[in-house]
Amino acid sequence: MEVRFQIQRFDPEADRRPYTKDYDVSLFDGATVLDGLIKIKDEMDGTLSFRRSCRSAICGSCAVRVNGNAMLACKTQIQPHLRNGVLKVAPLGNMRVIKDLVVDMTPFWQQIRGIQPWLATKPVVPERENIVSQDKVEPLLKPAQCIMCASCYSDCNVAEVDKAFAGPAALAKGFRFVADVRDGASGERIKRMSGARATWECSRCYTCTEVCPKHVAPLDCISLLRGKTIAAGVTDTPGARHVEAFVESVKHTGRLNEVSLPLKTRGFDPKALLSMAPIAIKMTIKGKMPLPIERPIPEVEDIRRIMEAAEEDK
Amino acid sequence: MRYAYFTGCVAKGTTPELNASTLKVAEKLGIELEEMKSASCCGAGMVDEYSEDTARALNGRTLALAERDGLNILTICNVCTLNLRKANKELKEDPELRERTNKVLGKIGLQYNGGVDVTQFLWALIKDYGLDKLKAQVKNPLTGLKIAPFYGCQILRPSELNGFDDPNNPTSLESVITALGAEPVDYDGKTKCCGFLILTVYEETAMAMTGRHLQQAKEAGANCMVTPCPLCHINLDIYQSKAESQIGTKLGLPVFHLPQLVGLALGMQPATLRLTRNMVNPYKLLHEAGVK
Repeated sequence: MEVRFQIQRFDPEADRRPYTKDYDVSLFDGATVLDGLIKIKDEMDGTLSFRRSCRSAICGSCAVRVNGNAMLACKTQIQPHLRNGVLKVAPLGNMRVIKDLVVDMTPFWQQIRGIQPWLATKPVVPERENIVSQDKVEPLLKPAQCIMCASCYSDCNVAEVDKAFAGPAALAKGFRFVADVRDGASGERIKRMSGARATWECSRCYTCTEVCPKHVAPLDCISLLRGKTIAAGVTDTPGARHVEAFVESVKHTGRLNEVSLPLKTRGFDPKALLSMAPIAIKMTIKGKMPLPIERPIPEVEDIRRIMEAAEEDK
Repeated sequence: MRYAYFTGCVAKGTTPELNASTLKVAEKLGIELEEMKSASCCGAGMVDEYSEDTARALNGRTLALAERDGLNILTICNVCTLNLRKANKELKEDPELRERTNKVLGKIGLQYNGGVDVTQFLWALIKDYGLDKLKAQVKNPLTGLKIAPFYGCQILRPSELNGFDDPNNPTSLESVITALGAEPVDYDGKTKCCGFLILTVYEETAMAMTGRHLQQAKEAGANCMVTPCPLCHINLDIYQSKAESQIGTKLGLPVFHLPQLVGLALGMQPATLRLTRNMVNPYKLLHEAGVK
């Protein structure tokens, strides 16, 4: 297999800006991106820097962007990603490049540390070991697979514009501890993450779930974390109010009320209302403003009955 | 071609031009749409966060109604597409969940047996109608339009639930744009998130996301944008002025709903396609590009 690697190079001590360098490499069929990078470094250009360790998709150090998307170099075979014989390799996004494919993961680790990823002991020391039943372990299995490779953080669409956002990996891990029956600080965790730029800032783009090499499905963890936040009664945030108002609206009319939802989400804050006014006026002029009182859909009674029945089961 | 037509809430609320143009274009193409007037909201993932069983019951009911009529569902919103497809997959593949949901649906005399498929207008145009057939219907090729495709997240990801396009390298919107005689413009943001689902919660974040993609599209040479999702359209079109002030750049990029664009190429009048309702005025561009 002949592959043209187009690798983003950057040495802050020598280069003013990143540039792309081509390497033509002969590899065996089925070779991984990491096989290629190692061959380039060993045989063609010893100055190329990249992280790697286990070569078995468990250490999480070799994540890079292949054709623009984060993946583990060791787990990714080249063949399906070749486009006209070319493979583009670049460092992870949302983090500063130290050299070539090596990024400074400080912001990622800060977010992970911020959720306090260790079990908080309960105030009373248990007399015997914690027995955890299978159904209580089940929700922890996926987030526990995280190898902290930062692929999700690299491609997170919210982190791209807001560096304060916790990011998918930290939130998935946050959920993992909130959902752990042995943890003694679930309540505080829920409050902390709900008030910070964390639980409610995810825009549900599913990029994390798509890129995660260990199938953690971080977005599903975030959804479950949101559910636990509401169930714990921590609802004094725009995010939680948004969900509650949404459910209320569907129960009431069978549909979403686009006028009352943002009002309820923002909690009738005069400043927020004022900032919404210019667009609301433009929308009214364009005939895009729905009626504030939505008429229920036909058979709305059926909607209410099944919503109530489903909740009873809960 | 006949579908159970699921409009979703927004196409009947803040983007009524999407519903109107879809109906007109479908009629012109001979696609029969039976509107599901009593279908509920899909829950948009919000109801899931509150209770997964409740969301599954709502979408299970919608699927059961379509099954009763012997029709597959056609949607015109990415979020509706994903939520209906998610419930559909769960109910088709997990007998325990199906039984639990059918117990709830039994209270209103319904049950779902897994006999419905959920498609999106974009996919139906390509897979069911066919691009060659569409091409043959084009009376007014959109030659002067350089169009930035904006897919929106939930028509691509998670690919396990959608699967029509490669989420990293989608081509469906481009193929429709080309079939209509226009030129697709590639740019980094085309598969990224507009931020709509956090618009009312973290508006600055959402506007930074929207502004970034619009700006990239413009810098890549696009003179307009198209999206298959009304929620993306709200951010990209209705909120474009806010995104402009946030990024400090004037953009003025008209954003079309997919059926509006198809309709223009079929020779339909802009008024019929409700282009008057689009917030960023597209008439000047259409005039300059020689699109009648």
